[in-house]
Amino acid sequence: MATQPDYSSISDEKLVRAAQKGDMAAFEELVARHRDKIYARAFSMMRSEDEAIDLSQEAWVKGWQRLKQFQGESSFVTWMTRIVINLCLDQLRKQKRHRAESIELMEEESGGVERQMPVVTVNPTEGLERKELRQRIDKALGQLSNEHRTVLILHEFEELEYKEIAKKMGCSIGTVMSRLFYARRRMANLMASYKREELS
Amino acid sequence: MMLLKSFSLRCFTPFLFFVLTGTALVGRVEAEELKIEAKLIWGTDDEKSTDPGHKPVDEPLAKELRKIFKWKNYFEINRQNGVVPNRGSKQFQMSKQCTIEITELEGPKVEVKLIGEGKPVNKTTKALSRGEFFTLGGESKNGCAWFVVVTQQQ
Amino acid sequence: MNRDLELKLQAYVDGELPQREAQSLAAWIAEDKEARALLAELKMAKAVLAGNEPELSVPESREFYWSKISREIHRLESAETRPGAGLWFSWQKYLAPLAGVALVVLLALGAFNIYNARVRDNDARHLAEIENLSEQMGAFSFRSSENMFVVWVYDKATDEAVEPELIDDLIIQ
Repeated sequence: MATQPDYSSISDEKLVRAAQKGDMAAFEELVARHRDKIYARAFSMMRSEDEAIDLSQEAWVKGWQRLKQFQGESSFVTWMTRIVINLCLDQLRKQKRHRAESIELMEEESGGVERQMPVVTVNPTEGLERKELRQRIDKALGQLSNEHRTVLILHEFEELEYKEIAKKMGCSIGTVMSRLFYARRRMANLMASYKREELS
Repeated sequence: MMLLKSFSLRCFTPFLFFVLTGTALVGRVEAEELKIEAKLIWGTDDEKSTDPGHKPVDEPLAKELRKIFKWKNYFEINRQNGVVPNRGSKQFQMSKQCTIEITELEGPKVEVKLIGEGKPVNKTTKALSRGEFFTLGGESKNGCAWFVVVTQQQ
Repeated sequence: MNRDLELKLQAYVDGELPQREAQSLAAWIAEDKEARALLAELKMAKAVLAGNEPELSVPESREFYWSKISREIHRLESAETRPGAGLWFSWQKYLAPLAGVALVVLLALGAFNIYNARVRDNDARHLAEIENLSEQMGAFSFRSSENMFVVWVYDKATDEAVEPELIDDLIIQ
């Protein structure tokens, strides 16, 4: 029986080329390598473990189906991340149809609430270890509305421009800017409140 | 298939979730008795079971289950012990709705039949090897899971 | 400070303002204490988030997570390549309750255990026969580790991924 190659030592590029020729084992190695990142992105957006598992797995299936279209303009994981983001956005749109608009979103659109948020003048994350900082960021993300969280993730973590975000979210650039502004101010205030809780 | 109607737990499910683990004895390919222990286990993210009589499963087993499945906590609902005779079968009733029937076959192999509400659902036959576990499972609609963990006792 | 100015400050931080506008804004910022404070907060929020996306792990084992992906890929590919199968299997479905036909699944675990070279030395011990005795239930399997073999049973009627006409129980690998 032929010996299975050691896929763990093969580069992503070579694995992708093998998978594009139908090598499922190579694709499985890619999944194993990058599943946490894809899952983490889905969880950041959906805030539900079950949904994140389902959507990330769906993304991988789509990745396999579309693999021949991947030409290497970006890294494979960046390409997969875009697939899972689009799936999450679709899912959020479906959920929005059945959900009342959040109070937070209404407040942001009325432009009033963040004016009541004091300006955070001292960095509330100074001195935090990276792991703890990431945990606080995750906690704060969980306290934003879907729309605010999404725009923040797309801008800060995906590094998309306003117009790209507007296209993905199906809204105006002005709306993107408003949501991003609110989300940032809210994040700053949440991080400051966590710091105060820690000190008290 | 409603295997778990008898349970008052909210995670009642039309799916059956079993984990069957069996450790094979070393050795010759001939008939042997199988001493079996079967546990009915509930997998959930809840910190406690709704029934205070349900205790958490021992940590080594919980750890094995957590390696594979997403549920955080596992509670033992029921436990049955018995001996499967050479080339014979034995049924283990895990609940009013759920029974497993284990048969010792030539090979040695083990056949595990899952029976729900008196109707056969699934049958798995597998060769035995030293130290090997095999697992039969499913998922609940409500985000929980039910397991029957079968281990071969020494 | 009005909303328009606040959003321009943000665009300035993000490098989204045209150069001329950015220059005039910079001049205003230099003169306005409130603007400087807000600018500092926006820059701080941006800097805190940069490179600090929460890191999470999939709460399922590699094998279990992959097995569902693999199953779905095979299901979709089978659906594409067997256009006639649906008809035969749906016909068989009517016979099954009368004949008590069992659907047999033979699984060669080497196909699932692609990452564990040791297992392939003795594949015979990993062969399993799975027989679905219920029309409602399907099954697939995977090996979680050298010593753990899992058969996953699911309700076809509620599994959105499964079309009732296609019997993906018959998987011979």
